[in-house]
Amino acid sequence: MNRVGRMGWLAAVLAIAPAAPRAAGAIDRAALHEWESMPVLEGGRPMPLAAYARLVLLQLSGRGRAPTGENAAVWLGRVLFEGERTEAEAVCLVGHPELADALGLASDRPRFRASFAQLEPAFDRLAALAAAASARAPAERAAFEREALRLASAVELYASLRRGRVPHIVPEGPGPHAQWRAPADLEAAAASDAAAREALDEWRAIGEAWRARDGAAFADRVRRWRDRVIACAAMPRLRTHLAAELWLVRVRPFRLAWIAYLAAALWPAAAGAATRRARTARAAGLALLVAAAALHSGGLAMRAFIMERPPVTNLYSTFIFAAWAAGVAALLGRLRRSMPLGRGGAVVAAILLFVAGRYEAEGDTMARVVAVLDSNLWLTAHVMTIMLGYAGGLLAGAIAHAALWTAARRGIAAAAEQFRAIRGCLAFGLVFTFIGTTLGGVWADLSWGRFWGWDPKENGALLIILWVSAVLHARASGLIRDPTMAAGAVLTVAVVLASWLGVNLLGIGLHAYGSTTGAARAWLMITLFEVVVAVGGFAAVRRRAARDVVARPPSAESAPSGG
Amino acid sequence: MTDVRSRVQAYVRGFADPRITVAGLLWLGVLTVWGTLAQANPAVGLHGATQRFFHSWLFRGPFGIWLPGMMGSCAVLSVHLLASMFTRLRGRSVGLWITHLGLLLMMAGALLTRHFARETVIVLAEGERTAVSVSETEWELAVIRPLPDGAREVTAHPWERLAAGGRIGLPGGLGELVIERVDRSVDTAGLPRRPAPEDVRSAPVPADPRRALAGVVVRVGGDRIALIGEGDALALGPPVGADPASVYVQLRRARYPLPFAIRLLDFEKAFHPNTRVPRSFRSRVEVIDNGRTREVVISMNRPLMYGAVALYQSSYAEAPDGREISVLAVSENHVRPAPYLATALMALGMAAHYLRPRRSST
Repeated sequence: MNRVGRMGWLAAVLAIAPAAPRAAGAIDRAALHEWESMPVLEGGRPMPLAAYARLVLLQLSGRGRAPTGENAAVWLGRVLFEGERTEAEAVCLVGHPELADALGLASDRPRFRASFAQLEPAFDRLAALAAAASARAPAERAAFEREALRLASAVELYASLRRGRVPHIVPEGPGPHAQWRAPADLEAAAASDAAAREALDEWRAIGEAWRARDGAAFADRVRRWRDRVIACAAMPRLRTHLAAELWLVRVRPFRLAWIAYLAAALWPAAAGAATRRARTARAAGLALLVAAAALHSGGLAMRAFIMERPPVTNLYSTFIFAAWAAGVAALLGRLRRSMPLGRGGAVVAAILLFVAGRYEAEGDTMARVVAVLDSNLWLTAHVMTIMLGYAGGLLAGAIAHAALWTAARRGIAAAAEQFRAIRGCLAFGLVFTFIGTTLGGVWADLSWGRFWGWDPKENGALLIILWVSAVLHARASGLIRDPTMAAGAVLTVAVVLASWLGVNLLGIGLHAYGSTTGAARAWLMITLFEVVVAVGGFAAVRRRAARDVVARPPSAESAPSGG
Repeated sequence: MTDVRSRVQAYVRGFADPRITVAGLLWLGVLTVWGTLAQANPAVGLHGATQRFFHSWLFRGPFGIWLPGMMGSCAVLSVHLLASMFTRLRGRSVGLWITHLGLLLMMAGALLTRHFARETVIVLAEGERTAVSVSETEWELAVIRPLPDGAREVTAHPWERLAAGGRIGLPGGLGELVIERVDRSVDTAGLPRRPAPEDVRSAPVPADPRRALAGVVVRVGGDRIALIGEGDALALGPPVGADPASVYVQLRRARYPLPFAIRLLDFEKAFHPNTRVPRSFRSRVEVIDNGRTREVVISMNRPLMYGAVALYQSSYAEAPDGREISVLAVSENHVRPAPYLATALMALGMAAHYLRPRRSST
């Protein structure tokens, strides 16, 4: 096997290799496994403590790992059982220099992490800043104010952990709708409730084993606690759900898939060549995509299994799903030897998974959905369909970037395959966006009593349909040619992002379930970039076409030119 | 004759020009963006933007220029589409034809819904019963006459028929009521519950018209009376005839009879454990229809459908006496199936177009 091929196989193996849990601190690997898989309630559903610990760290420090480098669950154990030792650890992210100044925290970096002990003298000032910020409408808050709110919430979370108000560790009764109690609730109820007293004693015993560094006793007590909680919760498949989520936390399949997609996108094409070296390179590229798609599909399936819902219930999960659609398109493209689709799909999947990672940092808990979204049928029919449409639009845009580049450098004829792929992706995007939008209208009619209400999210979807229809109609009727269609497809990226994210930034309408903050600038920059690419790319193609006409012998002058 | 026919055909072909398609689609896109951004302006809001851009045939743009609104643009595009279906699309893929037929139906359904559908609400505390729904934006002047048997005779005069100088006959020999002034929105700041007519001031209609309170100044005999929306019913004149017969007038939100009566038996709300994330809202109601009763549960995504009338779980509140209040949205729409049918047609058409066997090209 040649070097290129070996690299491909190595990358594929690395991508699918699971990340084994590493023991750290006081407890050994067996005890850590028991501790990580202990159920706690967050976002209205039980999850393994490992997932909860990661969420806590993401909210406190913006990272899924502890500042000390230790396992998140180990860090959480130290906070819960020997919290005073974590007070001096720099875990709370201070993400704005003005906030640091206002709190009197000295640092030469604009973003840094401060310890609870460092922040304690500034609690009153932070509370006042947060109160002032919360008095303003969300859309009017400055970045500094948003950061003050986030930090206040992080400090509150840390304090709640220390005081035993969270996590909620034991159900009050059976079934998925029962309330769960935190250690502080058990203490409050212990005097009058024998079950609470017994649970509190067991919890304290776990803490004692932790502090005594007695790994065997700790593992044994945690195992008994977990079995008891699972039995008490009486939720079917809870044990399997916990195991599945633990796999998600440990393996982090979307991150691995992201790496594999990126490698596949950058992988040399070697298209068409029949040499052994080229075949090996193609197989390695395909292996990367297979690994990426398998991990991605596995992760999505796990999310759907854990939530018992289609995997599209919040903004983060829509990115994951659209990336999956692009990844599958990439795989199909590679299998059919369509390089534009293969590479474009991998690029889109990698970018979307990267963006999803940013949203995950805001705390994706796979939380229970609000009442209006409580319909698996419509989540599947409307949201998944429309996300396929978004993916089609983005895919067309991604291929269009490459097509304009190719046409500008090597002539329009050299980009013929890319133009065909753009047309196909635009049509796919149009059909699925349209069907998804009208199915959304049917859902709205059943939920709110009207098919269409000119809500910003509805308008965003309509905008995609109108724009892509205009581009396809113009191309089909010969009003524009392929390069102009490609420029239109580049702009489709901006239109899709406007619909997907831009309307959330307005913060109005029935679909504003969760608006995004800080994304407005990024969206504006991307839009400007796409306009520059579309206009600049189109101009470059025209220039190249004009040069080709001049250079061509008279007999070939009737050949198509850009326009 | 042939000349006329060919000239008509030329016009139809001209009106089916694909440039109209592209320009029309782009203009609809501009309207969509413009209208959406306008919604974010608190002074305009969702309702204001919808009325100006999406429910209008024409609207005033910058520099006072009249521009086609969404309704006007869609009307032009419908004619263009019809022309295209009989010229450009003739003989082409049957899928394209079906898709565009569905599009026409969609636009026709939107137009009919806009003009003939009605959206109102029912607000019921547990145990309460009603046979009417109430508009959140429309008003009516109700003339109420209590009857000796405890019932009430109510004559409601819709807002559209109230105009300065209009006259309304009153029962009980009270003569007639003359309307002096009508205001879609009045400024109620600082006004007592029964303001003097000269204190009633007009105010701009708020971005959310549900927050507007209408006002009317009327004259009965020599008395001038100001009526403010959602105010008390005012007694007119001394009791006439058998006590306690009197006549009252009230400016109230417009009420529409339902084809059945409904009683709220119970309202339940539930949250996901340890959160304030709503899990479900449901109203258990009794539907009384021609003397027959049946129990129905209305919840999110599960409306009660009754012919053209549909009741949806919309919101909830708590009454001062602690009873739970359920707010049900009522939609009366006789063309409700139109978008469903249009969607099915368009999906079918696109499937037929894109999945048709392709001729191989060399």
